[in-house]
Amino acid sequence: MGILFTRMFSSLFGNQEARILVLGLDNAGKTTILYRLQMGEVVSTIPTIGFNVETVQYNNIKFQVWDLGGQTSIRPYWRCYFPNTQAIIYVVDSSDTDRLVTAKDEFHAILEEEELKGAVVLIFANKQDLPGALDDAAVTEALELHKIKNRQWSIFKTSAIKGEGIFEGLDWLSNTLKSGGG
Amino acid sequence: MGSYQRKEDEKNEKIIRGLLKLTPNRRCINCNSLGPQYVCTSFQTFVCTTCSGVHREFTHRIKSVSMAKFTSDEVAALKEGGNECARKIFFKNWNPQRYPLPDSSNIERLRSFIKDVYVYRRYAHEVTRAKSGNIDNSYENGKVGAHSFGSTFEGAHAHRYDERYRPIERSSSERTSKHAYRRNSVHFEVVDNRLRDNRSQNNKTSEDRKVLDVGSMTISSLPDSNSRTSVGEISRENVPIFCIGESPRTDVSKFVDGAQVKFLVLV
Repeated sequence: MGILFTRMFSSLFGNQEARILVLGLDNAGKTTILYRLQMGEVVSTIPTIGFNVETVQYNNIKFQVWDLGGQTSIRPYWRCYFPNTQAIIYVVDSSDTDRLVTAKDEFHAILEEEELKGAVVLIFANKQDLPGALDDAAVTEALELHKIKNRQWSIFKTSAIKGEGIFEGLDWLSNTLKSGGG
Repeated sequence: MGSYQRKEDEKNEKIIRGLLKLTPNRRCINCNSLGPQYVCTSFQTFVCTTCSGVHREFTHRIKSVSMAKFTSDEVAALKEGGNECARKIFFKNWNPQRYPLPDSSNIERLRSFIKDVYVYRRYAHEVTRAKSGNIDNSYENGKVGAHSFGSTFEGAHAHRYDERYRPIERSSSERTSKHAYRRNSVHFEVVDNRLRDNRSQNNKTSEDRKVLDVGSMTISSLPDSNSRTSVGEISRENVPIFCIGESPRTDVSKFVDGAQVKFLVLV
């Protein structure tokens, strides 16, 4: 009875939980974004082997954010984390134009996954602080985001280092999740 | 195609593992810690985990030996490069007695060391320091593949770093005074060395000092004098401007050094 009441209470007041995966090529800024979200600070990072996981409370949603390592050989292990995921944050290094094709291929491979069929997708065109970084429109084109079908998605220009755009993205994510997406 | 690719990957990894066994590559080039697990493909060096993280901050490319796949081009470049080769370039004028290698546990010092070595190229070979245009050629003819070094030696790279990291340091210095200290310390280190050099070489006469003052006035009144990079260029390229005074030829270098010192202190 008590549990039932708690559940009703939290559903009424929107104390939702969401499991989020942060994916992207190595050195896209995934870990920096995770800790920017969690602590509001820039931390010095090392290449992630394995994962980092943190919970972030935002807009009455408790996000469980999984930041998975992006090096080539460990990308196949991303799929181990796919079940029960409500949202993907896909991080792109907008200044690394040489590898945008790789970023696109990995991105569309993720969207093909059956287990992620219901997940909403938030794309961060990160490293906007770097000169030569492509803007959101250019990244949209490079990643061929117009090919996304039957899925809610959005792209934001971000700079994890400066702390720009990240929480705007999370706003979109929480609104989308609350309105039943994912 | 798939199996061919896999064979290629295996072959490449085997070569890299072999390179890791060479004595110069057994230790991280920056902090001397044993068994580096990362490759900095911007400079073809083997570095430890901590240093790889710092390199990434400066937009240098990093790959894990065991967790990334290397292309045959990258492996070829790495064969040509490696720590010994990079040491000849970036540590050419480095004096281990005066500036010992940083400890991997001291991230702040590691960061400023890596910045000095690869971004400012403070200890680099003169040829590589002078002009970015010549460098590509010299390495194309030489032992290092132009493929890998070309992009890193561009002068633009340093600017890229500067523009990106200035705002961060500003924002982080607002947060903690430790960061602010670090930022200043870089400047003062430079000033220190030049002062030290000057003092050890000669005792200044009063006439020298007079000239020095005029020089510093000239420099500080130059239009571009508020950026640090321009200071270097002034001292290197505009030397004739300061030669107008009656000071003999031998004094010019001291004088330029002195002027620069004065200027940096003013900054």
